[in-house]
Amino acid sequence: MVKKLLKYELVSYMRILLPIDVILLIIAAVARIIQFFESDTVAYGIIFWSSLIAVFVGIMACMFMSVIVAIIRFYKNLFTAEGYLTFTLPITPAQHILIKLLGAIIFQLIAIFTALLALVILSAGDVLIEVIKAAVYLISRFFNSVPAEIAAHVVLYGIEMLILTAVSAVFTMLVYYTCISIGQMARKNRVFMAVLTFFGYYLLVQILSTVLMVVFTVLELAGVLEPIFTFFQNHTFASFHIIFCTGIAVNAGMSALLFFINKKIITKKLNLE
Amino acid sequence: MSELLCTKNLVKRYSSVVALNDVSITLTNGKIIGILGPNGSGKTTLIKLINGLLTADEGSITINGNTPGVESKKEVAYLPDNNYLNSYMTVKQIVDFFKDFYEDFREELAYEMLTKLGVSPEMKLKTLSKGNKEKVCLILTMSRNAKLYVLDEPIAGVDPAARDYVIRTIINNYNPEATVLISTHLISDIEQILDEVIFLKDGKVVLQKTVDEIRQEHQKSVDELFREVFRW
Repeated sequence: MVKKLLKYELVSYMRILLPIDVILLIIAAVARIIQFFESDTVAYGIIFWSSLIAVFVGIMACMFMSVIVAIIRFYKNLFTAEGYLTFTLPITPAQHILIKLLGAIIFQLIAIFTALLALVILSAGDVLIEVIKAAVYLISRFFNSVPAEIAAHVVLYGIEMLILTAVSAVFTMLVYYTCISIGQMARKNRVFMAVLTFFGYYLLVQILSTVLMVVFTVLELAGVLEPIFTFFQNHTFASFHIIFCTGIAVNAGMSALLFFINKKIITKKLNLE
Repeated sequence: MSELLCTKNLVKRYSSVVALNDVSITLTNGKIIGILGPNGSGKTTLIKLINGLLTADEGSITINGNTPGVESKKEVAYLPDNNYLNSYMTVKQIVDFFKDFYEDFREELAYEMLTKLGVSPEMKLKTLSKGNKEKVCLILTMSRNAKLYVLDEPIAGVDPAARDYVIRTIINNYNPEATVLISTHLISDIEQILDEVIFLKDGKVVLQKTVDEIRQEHQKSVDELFREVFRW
């Protein structure tokens, strides 16, 4: 059942996002073709820079739309008239949220891949091949020249950063979803209430960050944090693992909390139009 | 006859407004039951509770022994009072959607009804008229071989000819062992097909009787009794 739901979810994303991705790749290809007609004329300069700007705008649009479509899809499919069908399917609220998240993350990954592909198309040619060769050479040289223990740390950093990025993306989407879920409980102006909730959340985060910074500074001045700094200095490699893993744990914990809040609202406080 | 739907002391509040107050009803298999009441009497709230779209503040609901959830949704075919279809889909895509998610969906029956209605499977839902969209929704609901059909205002806002179509579609296609729960305030149009009625007034059940009992005890049609009970 979940697989079927994911299939429909991806199809609905594809309807909107696939044309945007294809347009970006076409713009990148056109921009690359323009480079074959290189000349010193002003007209060429204008066309060349315009095409580069178009690719840049296309990449931004591609990334931006993958998030916007995910937000709209969550609201429309769950909290407007479509919700009458969605919530009478034999599927649990948790599965609905999970599928929405999966769809959003998959299409954000596709957007990133498309953006990279557009850059590859834009710079396709001998220079790109040389750059890739140089990068591969430098990376292999690095791993050959450093002790195996350090190489292992670097590989682990890479993996931790990837996990942190993925968990952060999930957390960010869940923040949007939670704001929408809270907003839909209002009798009127549900979208406005969702936006208001988001700004409330943003304000709260800013206040908490400021408070934490003040506390941190005070503790630092008082010398309370000295043992921690000493530990970090003596265990540099381990310190970065601790920082990354703490980031992953905090984001995962917050994501679990937001997931639970969304599930609770959908189960107990669903307010379909 | 076995008990299909049972609500006990059901209470649902929206802030300070009590939408349903101590509603206890029991429905058995194989009946067409009208849930009747004026606007704001709590009909849609009760239906949403049955379908798990709302959660009761107090009391309980069981459908074939299950509380509203995944298992009950496999057995309940629901027609909301608004158009819930994805307008970008074609008729075939929405039929496939129902086939994918409901094991009891009768695809051949759906296409048979759609053909009679003159709706091609390749048509996009957004190109259909409002009336035809409503009929497609009804066809999808009645194409399920469900144990309980819950139809929220299926004849509201449609012309008399369309009402006949809706009533015919319900009678000809529901699983005879199942129960059909129809909410409406247009009683005269639907009275002839009802076995039993439930009157809801200000969130309370004021009457639950068979149509025959009403005729015998009150010497009135359901429509006449309704007008008497709900007179302003």
